[in-house]
Amino acid sequence: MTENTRREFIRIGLVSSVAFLGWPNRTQAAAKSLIVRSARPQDLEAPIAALLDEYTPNDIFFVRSHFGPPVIDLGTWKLRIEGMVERTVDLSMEQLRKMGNAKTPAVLQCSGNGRALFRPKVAGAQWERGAVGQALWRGIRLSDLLAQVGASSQARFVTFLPGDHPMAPSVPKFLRSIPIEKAREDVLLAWEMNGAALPLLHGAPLRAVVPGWSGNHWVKWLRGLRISDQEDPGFYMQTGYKFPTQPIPPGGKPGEVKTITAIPVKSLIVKPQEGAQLQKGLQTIQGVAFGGKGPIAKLEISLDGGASWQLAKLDRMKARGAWQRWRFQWHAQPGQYLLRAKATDSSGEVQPHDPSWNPGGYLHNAWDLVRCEVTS
Amino acid sequence: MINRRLHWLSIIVVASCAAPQPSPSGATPATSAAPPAASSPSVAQAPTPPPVPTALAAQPSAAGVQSLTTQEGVIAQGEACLSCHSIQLIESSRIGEAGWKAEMIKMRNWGALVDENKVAPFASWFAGHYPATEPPAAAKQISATEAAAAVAPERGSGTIHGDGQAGAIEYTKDCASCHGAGAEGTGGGPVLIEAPVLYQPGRFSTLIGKGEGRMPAYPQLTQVDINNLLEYLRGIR
Repeated sequence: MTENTRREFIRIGLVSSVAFLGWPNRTQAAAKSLIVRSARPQDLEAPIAALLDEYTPNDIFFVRSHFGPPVIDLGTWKLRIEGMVERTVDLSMEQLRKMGNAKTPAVLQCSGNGRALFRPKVAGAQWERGAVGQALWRGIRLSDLLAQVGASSQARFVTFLPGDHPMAPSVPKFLRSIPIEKAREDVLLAWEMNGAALPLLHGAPLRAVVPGWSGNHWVKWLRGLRISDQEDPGFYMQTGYKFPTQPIPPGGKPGEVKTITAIPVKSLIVKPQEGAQLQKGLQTIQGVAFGGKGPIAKLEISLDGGASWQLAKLDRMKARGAWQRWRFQWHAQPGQYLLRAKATDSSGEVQPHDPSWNPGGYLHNAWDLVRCEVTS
Repeated sequence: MINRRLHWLSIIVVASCAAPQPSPSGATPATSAAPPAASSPSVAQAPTPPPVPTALAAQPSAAGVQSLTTQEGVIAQGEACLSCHSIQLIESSRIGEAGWKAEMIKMRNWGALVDENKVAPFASWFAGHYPATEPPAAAKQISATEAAAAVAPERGSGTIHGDGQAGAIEYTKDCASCHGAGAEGTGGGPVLIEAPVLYQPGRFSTLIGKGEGRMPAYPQLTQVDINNLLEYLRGIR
């Protein structure tokens, strides 16, 4: 291994955690910590306060790992594009950067965010509300890449080939496929996150960014793409990450299931935080709302647990798959409060009162809830 | 004495399998679905999970359901789960006996060291030890810097002056039975290909010299032997 190579992978590993100096709340963020849902492989939840800014700082951005980061030698790393292309190509990072350069804000949410809130409980990493964040991603548009490598017009799927290794050959590889239409629509292969080199924990040197879709598609530590006329036949496309097509009672068994794709309409109350004590007077309730099926059209706040609702002020959507921040000015009077948030998207889909229970504990999107007390 | 086949396990990032996976047919419990062999040729070649050590043999209870003592359960947890999963994931999963049974079946299909006739007693022990009616302890916290350091190469770890051929011989002799002939991993020891620990020489040496968890100590190996092993393992892609 050359000295340059060594420096390169060390740079990925160590320097990448230095996130975008100069970003808002950077110093404040550095003092905060990630919540360990699993230490090995690392599943680390963001504190809710991390969601306060437009962009979630890299060092308090949640981390989800299937098998964990491999040690990748950037000096020899190449992205292999194979299958239904004119010819198999291996592209270095330098080549990729010359082939395209785009950026987009997008929400990344683990499909299991909120799993711990389902009853009855389901197995898996017990995420509460913080397996979500938004970053400004920079990389190459997959549509540009597919055009330049001559992807066949008959191609129907792009399968992301990850760099992480299952712990043994008996464990299925983490292979995810997306339809070619989605690949050409808005997907990025990103090497930068919030102005910094993509951190190792977030998939360095290259990861998929699939705006509006659940995190299971945002494959990290990419090594290649397979262009084909069928989705991957393996476990993680055929069995894993499925959701019932029809509601089932809590604890029930699903009949027909479908692949998890777009994030259902959702909102989170970021401030005040659970159990907060507030002073009487003007308070701001604020948070984020997002969904993969279109912009959020309406955000409602309830101060009485959902009995009555008032409209919050909602930012416009900056890009497809970006979240929208919202705020509500509240003349708080002393008492105990159950704050709830409810988003409605442009298609009329509304956050439900109850989550759609499913055996995987996926896609929790019930009205968000924060309890707080106002003192005189 | 428990005859453990042991391995480097603790800091190597391995299978998560954190979420249960619904069956497309819905005909079986979501978490009991076996991975389809079609997913990878290597799946079909998966080694048969070695038997669980006889010391873990469960004793029949009065009700006819085998049960484990606390000590046996803790050992079983270490043998069956902790080589791939961290304790946080297990402690926080308050999923009841049926949930644990489904997880055991799924993980056994993926190579976990659980005998078929131990699935029920193991599930019973986990359900009792991590009761669904009690919340888990508060989760620990970690900074991103600490998290990255656990899986990143150490500064200055890039060059090793070892003999890869000698390392291959040593690997075959002491390591391959658990970690696989090509370091691809087995149910008894995780994959070592491109593993961060190969670039954390201090940690690697400590694991070899002192062992950890199911990984036995090999105090007889010298620093030269260790460097040879590193040279060999780093060359596997």
